[in-house]
Amino acid sequence: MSEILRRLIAFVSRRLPPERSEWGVALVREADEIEEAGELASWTLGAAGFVARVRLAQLAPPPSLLGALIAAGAGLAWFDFHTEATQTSLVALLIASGAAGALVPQGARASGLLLGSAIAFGHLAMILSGRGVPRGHPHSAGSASLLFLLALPALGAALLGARLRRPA
Amino acid sequence: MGRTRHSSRQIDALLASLAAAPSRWRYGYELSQELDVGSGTLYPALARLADDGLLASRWELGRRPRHVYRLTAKGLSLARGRARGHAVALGVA
Repeated sequence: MSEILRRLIAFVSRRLPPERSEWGVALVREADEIEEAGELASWTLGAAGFVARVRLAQLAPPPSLLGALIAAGAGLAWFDFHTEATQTSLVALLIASGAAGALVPQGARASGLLLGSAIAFGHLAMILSGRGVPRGHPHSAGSASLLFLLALPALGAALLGARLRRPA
Repeated sequence: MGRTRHSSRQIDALLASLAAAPSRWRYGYELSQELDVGSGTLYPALARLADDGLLASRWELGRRPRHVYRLTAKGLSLARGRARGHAVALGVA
């Protein structure tokens, strides 16, 4: 049991980004000093929580970017409601996501996911508030939820934008 | 003064513990046991303090090197300021 936990904490700690990797090694070394299995399990769980927090903090965009993304997302949803051609909305979404990724490469994932979800959120907000959506758009919560799939091409566009800005 | 990123109860307890023996290097597990907090609470706090130059860390060499911590002069000053603030609030200063 203890050996499994030690392997687990070593595995989890390796998920830390390079600038935090020292803390991961520190957690593993301290775990080596713990003999009681229950305590080791608790230490391992805490380490996993620490790693998750660091990873989430990396994913979360800074407040200024978040504000800009929410505004851009609202704009995209508004544009989608006012255009009947699906392709036009998709092109606008890809351009916006790519531009966001290029402008702030470190926030590319968050940008792609947020912008890609904006149209779905817009539809759900309209449907759930009872205001309805324009003709030709998904009109039930279930079908509107499928619009979350747009997050995938948006994510791809944002990562591409980031890659073009910051070549590997 | 408003809340800062170092104003949680755990951070106060951590600062107080480290300030009690400022020249001594401490282990993470030892701090965790003393403060009765898990690694998931302790390490984010240690990392925040280190990021802001309040905590020094180094590897203690040995058969199995361990990460050890103690307050920097800036951290010690903050810890002592906090302790004075608490004492004033409790009316014992």
